[in-house]
Amino acid sequence: MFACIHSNHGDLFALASSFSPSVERTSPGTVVFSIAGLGRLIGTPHQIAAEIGRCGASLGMQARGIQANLAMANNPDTAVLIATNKPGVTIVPPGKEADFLGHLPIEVLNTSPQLLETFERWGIRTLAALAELPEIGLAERFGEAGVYLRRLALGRTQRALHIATPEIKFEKRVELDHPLELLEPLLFVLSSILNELLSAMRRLSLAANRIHLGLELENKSRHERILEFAAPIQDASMLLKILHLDLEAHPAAAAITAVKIELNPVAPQSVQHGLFLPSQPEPQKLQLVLTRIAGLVGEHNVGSPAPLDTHRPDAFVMLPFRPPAPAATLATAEIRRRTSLQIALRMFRPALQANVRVKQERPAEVAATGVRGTVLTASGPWRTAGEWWTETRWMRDAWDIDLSDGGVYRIYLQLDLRRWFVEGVYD
Amino acid sequence: MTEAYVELHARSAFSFLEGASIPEAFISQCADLKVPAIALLDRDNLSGAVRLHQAAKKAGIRALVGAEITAKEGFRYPLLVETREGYQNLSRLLSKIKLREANGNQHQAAATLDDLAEHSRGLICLTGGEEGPLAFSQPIMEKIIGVFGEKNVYVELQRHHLREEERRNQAAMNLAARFHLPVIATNGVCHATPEERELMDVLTCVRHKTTIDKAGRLLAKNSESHLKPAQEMIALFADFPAAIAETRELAARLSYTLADLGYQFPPYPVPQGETMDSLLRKLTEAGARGRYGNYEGPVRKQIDRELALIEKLKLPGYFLIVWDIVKYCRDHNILVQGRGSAANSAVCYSLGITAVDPIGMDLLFERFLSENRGEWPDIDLDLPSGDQRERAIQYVYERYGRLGAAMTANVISYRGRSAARDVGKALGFESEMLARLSSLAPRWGYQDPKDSAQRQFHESGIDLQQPLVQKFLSLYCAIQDLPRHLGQHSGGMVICQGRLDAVVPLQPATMPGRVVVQWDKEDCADMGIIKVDLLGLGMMAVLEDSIQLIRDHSHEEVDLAHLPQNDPDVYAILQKADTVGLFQVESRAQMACLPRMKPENFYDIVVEVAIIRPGPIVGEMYHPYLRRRQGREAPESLHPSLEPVLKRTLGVPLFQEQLLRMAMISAGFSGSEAEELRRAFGFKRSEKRMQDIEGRLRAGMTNNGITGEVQDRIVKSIASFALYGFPESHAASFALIAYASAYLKCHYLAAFTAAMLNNQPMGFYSPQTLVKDAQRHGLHFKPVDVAQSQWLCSIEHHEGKQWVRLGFNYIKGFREGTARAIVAERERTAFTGIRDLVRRVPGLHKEALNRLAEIGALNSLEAPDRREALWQSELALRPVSDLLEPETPSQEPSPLAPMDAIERLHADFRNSGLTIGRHPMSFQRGRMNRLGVIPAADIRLVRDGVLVRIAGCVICRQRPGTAKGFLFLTLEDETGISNAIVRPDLFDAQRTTLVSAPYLIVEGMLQNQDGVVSVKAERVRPLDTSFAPAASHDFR
Repeated sequence: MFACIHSNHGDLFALASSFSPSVERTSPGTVVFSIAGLGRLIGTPHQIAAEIGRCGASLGMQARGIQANLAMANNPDTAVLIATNKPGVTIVPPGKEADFLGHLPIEVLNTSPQLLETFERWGIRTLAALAELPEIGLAERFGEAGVYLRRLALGRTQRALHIATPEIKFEKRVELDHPLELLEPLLFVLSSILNELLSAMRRLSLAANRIHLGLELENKSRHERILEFAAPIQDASMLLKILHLDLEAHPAAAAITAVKIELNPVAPQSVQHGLFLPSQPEPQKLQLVLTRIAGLVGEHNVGSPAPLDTHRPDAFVMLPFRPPAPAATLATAEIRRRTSLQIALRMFRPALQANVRVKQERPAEVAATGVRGTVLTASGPWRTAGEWWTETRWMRDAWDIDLSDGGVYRIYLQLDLRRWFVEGVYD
Repeated sequence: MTEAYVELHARSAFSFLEGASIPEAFISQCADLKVPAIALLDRDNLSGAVRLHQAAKKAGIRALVGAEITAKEGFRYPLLVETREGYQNLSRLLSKIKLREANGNQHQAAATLDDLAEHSRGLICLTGGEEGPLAFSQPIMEKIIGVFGEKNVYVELQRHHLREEERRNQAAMNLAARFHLPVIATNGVCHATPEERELMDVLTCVRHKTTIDKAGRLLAKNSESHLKPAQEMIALFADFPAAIAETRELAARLSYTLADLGYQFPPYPVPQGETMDSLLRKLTEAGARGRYGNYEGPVRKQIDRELALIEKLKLPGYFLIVWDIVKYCRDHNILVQGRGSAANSAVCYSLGITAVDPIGMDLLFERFLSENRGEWPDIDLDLPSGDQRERAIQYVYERYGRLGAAMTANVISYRGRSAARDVGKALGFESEMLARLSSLAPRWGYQDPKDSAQRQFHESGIDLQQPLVQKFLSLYCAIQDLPRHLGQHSGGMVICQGRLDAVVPLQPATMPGRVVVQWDKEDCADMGIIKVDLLGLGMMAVLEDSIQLIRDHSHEEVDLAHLPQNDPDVYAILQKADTVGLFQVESRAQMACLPRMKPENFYDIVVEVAIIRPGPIVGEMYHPYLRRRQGREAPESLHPSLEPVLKRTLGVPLFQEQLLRMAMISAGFSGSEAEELRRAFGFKRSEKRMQDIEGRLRAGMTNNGITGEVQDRIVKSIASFALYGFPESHAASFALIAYASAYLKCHYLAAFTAAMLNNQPMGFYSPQTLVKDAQRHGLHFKPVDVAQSQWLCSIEHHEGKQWVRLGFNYIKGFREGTARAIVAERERTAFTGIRDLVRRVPGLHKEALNRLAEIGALNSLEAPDRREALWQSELALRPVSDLLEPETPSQEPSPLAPMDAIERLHADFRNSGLTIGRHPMSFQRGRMNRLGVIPAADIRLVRDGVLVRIAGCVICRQRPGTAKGFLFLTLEDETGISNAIVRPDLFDAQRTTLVSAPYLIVEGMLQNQDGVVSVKAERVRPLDTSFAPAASHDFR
């Protein structure tokens, strides 16, 4: 016998697993499992059904008002068809499958729309009508698929369950005996968890490319940190160092009562080093360096700048840093070679607010922090305006000026604010 | 105007998604900015040139001609026309590169340097901006100079306040110095004002199929590509004033404008010793003798008058060419009839171009042709839609050469839904939001004044406070009427003496073998290019097919020109509005009018055709005419002097010709002046022109002693009629066809119905309604049958009567080739069964076979019922090798239950959209009786003012612009058709039900007056039924 539970909510897999090690996740919200042998442990199918109900209640399903259907039948398909289409508990006595399935509409069959359309044309609207069609006639027309559907309608299929393998998770939560306020004892706890999780990962030839640290605090709030790594890491001490640095930069707001670490498993990075290339630092150490830098300059200011596809001047985004592949390194070198003769503009970030005296619609004098002088020549205005459909619309007139202080600067007037800025200086 | 600067490089919305302003907007802006001339250089076309020229002419601005020509390498050559030879070269160049590519590949049309070299004379080449040749490659300069000559190449500088542009300008100036070329300033304009930059960005997104958020650097860098005044351009080029001065020099050099088009209508080839004048006179006289016998008196006088004017205006060639097309049609059994104002001409009637006797009907010749109008007369020919019309079109191509004739274009512009969809997509709205926005775009005939965009948005749950929605709204309004792409006009053809491609660029049409010009019919008319409209009329095809079916099955020859006059059966069905399927008199409004009008003679049909038009309705002529017709009001003309003009229409002006005559009599206008008046008040209204002519009209009437209220009433009726009125000649031409259709329906119902079914979609009603109407008139139908049916519906003889056999064309998705293969195979040997059918007709795929089985078309192949056929079909379709195929078909009986009547009905609708079985409502009759629903056939027996309930399948929903928000519903049941009227407030309250429910129950007060029966709806609810709906004809 097989039992099928169908519900849109609740951990059905856990419920089924408490009765059988052979559980199939048929679809989201549907599990089917063998109840063979439960008769000697629990009793009749009705008693088994009652026990499943009780167990579901103990898992909190009843308390949460979760509605579930349960069907028991001699084969998994019948159990699934009835559980997914008939409310409540249904126990199908052996040999009576066709009676229970017969009234179900033909659409319950998980088959192709073309086949359903053919049945609709034929006037076959229920499983009982399908069951009445001659098996040979169906075989001639639809081959094995037709025969299988008819057997489904009769409740006469037999198959093994597709046993679900539980997903391996690398996570651990530790509830602390007493709240921790200092970082050092916390690192001790973290070290223990990381050693355990990364040992498990190494056994499976996996590495972590992301760590999710969740700290439950005494004040009932949570402190969450998610760190992604440029190269996957297997070394627990390195990961601990990274967490150490990160927690120094982002300390928890209150004493810690529980710790949870979740590692995302990926295949470890394998790099074939070139024989004649200079040796490079281990990519795993990169993350350590990046974390140190992030601690100094802020995590949003670390990474690889990438220009945005917009006319907005100086628009870029910081992407997580990734070590370039050797080929890309060569391309970058080539680009550098080609662009080495171009004039460079050193940007002031943020731009320096400036006082500009305008004469005949051209800048005549400029004064800003560290920049002051009379404009000798000015070229412009270079006008850009865009993103008119958003609140971040911009309009600006930029000028390239040769200033009496000997520098060549780029200044601009932000037209909506009517304010001047020095954007950078040309080398 | 200041002569300081001329804009020589502007791109309009006719560059299709590469410009955001229409040509008229450029001219208006030129006028505001005092720019004396502008050159329009649209990408690979001259489609905007005429509109620019016309607008410029009115504004006193010079419109210079040019185009950007796409090069094979991807950049564009900006070319300006210096002389007429240059214009012809440009037009030929465009035609050459366009015609080289198929219609679907027009975006790949591009020119090589050899193409340019062949057509370079009279053209001046600029170097463009970021899309010009210099931005692509500087070494190409030498080649350009080689093609155009150094005096005809100008180095172009553009300044939009962009750094990289300045770098290009520096390089361009170096090149200019090196090659000693003049330098010229332009602003590379692609929108008239800075504000239109946003629209330009939206169009860019549409062109690149992206959204504004993702478009990035595809969008404009700033808003500087707009038309700028001289002082701004002078300031921009303060360091290089010669570039500005050169614009004046070059503009002065560009002597060509479209005023010098050089178009000539082709002469008609005449036999030795004849002239076109003499040939036309000879043909007209011969024709007149056929029409009028030995004509003398007023007929001869009129014909002589017309011929004299035609000769004076040098138009005999035009008449001969149209006569030649008509002759070709007659010689090849293609039904043809002239319509429109040509029917006012006795010459056209004599030549057989039109079928209405203008003298007998006292029609006004000046409406057709007048001496001072300065434009070509308009002759439209109605032809059977489909292949026959195509034959006539191909004849014109053959006669005048592929480069001597072409169809006119149809400019597809942004309107309602297309505007909402493209703007919404560009702004990145989700598909659900797009669907909601599109649904808000107007599609009703009637526009409720309360239906402001704000209200519609609010009701649809769209928050107008959102900035992006506000942007959408403003852009949606701004994009209206902007050209989107060029299509092909339904029937307008232009013909030219010599090569048409030297007059206007040609390009391939979607339909193979057709060529279109880049101008629409208005442009052609404005440029004085003569046009012949070869229009496809579904009813002409029906008449032609009917005549053939009658010839084949009744062995009678029907001559439409000699149908019995005043056939009582025809007037009987017209009087009781039994007009489903008839030409022009089948609409709900016509049906409501006919029982009041009670047509008794041909002229009544002419009036009937003309009276259900916006003109008489807006001009409030409809009800007075009907009251007078019914004797409830005395006929009285607006003024005694107008009595002769208005007597025929009981003192109420109904036709355009009447307004011309009214002006001639009351204000002493000449025929030409009267026509000028009609045009001034017509669709292209100009306030100034209207005021001017109204002043003259009033002055003339005052001189003739017509003053005060009478004068006002006459002016009002003229004003409303000029816009919407129907020419009497046109109505008469249509009335002839209406009479013919009624005659055939009365006397040859089977042939007429088969022909109607074979020419769908056309007319007002769905095939289902046509079938049910024919059945109520006693016609029997046979279903589709693979052993009997043809591709088209055909006629069979049973029990001494003609039955209509449905054709394979009534099976959804069925291919004509498959149907013809079935017929060919069955004529070879009859099919022995379904497997035999499948084996011998390999093109019969599964879906088609199942449809055949499901509608009973296989029942004659040893399948006693539809389900048996379906059971067998499924087996027949299984691929079986010859080796394994059974010698005898399986004898296994079908286990499937036969379809019941309702299932058959469903199958019929699902697979063919109609049923020849019971009407869906007949299955509901018991329930309807219990609900007190009155069948349609009985409703006219109920007296006026009784509360009734009607129900049926909705076959027509209308909310015409003239009905002030009322909705007209037509319901059909198994006994006939009933009508309901829904008040605006009820419509607002039950909009969803009324718009979408396929079956309705309507309860309300019955109005039964003068034989016109309708229910004034008080309550409406959907009829709960699972039946498939018949197609409803909505909102026209």
